[in-house]
Amino acid sequence: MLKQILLAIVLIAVPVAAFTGFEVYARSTATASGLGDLSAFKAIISDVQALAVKGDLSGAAKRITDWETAWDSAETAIRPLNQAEWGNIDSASDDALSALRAAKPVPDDVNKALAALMAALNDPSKPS
Amino acid sequence: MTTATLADAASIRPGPMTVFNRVPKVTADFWLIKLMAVTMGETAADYINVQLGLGLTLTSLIMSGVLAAALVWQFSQRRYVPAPYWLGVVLISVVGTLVTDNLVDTFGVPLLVTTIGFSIALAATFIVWFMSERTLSIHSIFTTRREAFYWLAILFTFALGTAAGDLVAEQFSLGYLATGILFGMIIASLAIGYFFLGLDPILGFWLVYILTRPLGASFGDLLSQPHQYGGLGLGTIITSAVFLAVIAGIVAYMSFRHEGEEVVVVDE
Repeated sequence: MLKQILLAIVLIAVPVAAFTGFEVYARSTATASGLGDLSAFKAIISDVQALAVKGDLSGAAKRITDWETAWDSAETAIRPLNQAEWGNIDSASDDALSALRAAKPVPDDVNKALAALMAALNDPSKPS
Repeated sequence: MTTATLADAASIRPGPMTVFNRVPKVTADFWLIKLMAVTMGETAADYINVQLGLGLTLTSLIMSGVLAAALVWQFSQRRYVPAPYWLGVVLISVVGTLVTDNLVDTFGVPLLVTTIGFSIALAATFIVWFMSERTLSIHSIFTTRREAFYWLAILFTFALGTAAGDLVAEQFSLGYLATGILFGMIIASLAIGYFFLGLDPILGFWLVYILTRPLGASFGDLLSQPHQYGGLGLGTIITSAVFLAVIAGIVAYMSFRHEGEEVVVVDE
């Protein structure tokens, strides 16, 4: 019984150790990839910003729904890449969504929240 | 898969001393279909959750109801019948994924806590199972009580596999391909242990059963997620539908061949 459990532990530990060794080696030679390519997300937010600056807040609110859909459906894919960075963008996203979806959106708040979201997309490592 | 199976099936005649095992024999097809069921469970849970927009909690409740109905169907069988058995596995896979996602996303339970919690739950299931039945054999599931232990263990292996897989992927920021390779390597190592080093079949079976969950899930994500995140971009609908079709095909084939059926000789 004990011998079996030890055998199982060894059988699991050996590939884990080999894999970890390889990962550590691979990472030391490559630069951190962060969340990957976020340009598609930035493009949507820059659309929203353009609409908001023109004062078209309802158009901006409509366009940010595209962002919400894209961001939510990408969660499974990008969240594991970097939890903290993903969280920074997600909280900036929540702020921007609530600013635009307020009963009476305040243009100044909307612009600020969108700028913060864009900043988070440009540098996800910085908490907003 | 061999002609021996056909001969076995033909010779299955339950006498006074023999009964049918209610769960399948572990064959290559068993692992193939189990792996596909978990892959589909992951992509289908994603699809139901994201696309239908019912919210994680409502989705979990509805799917749990469907699972309960499937298990009633399975428990009403007195022998292994592929359709209800594999429907149960596919639905446990979907519900197990939803429950773990729900605990993490809605209730904010850390993955480390769910991983440890499900490990304890699974260990407790095995301990009570052994104390009650004096065996953990999957070749003599011929009472409703044993079958209940079996399915409870299956449920916890899925929940544990989901939590442990997500934990590894997130904690170490591994992509799905790397996660898949890692779990594939561990499974290969356990297979070597079973075939060459005398690893206990039942211990090996349950360990691999846990580990095929994260392997299948990373495979599903790899197929369904968009190119920009390193996936193949097939989407969750197509991936789920293709896998469901293949699973249905294998289940039909198994039913036709009576593959996986097993009789148990009762001592007393």
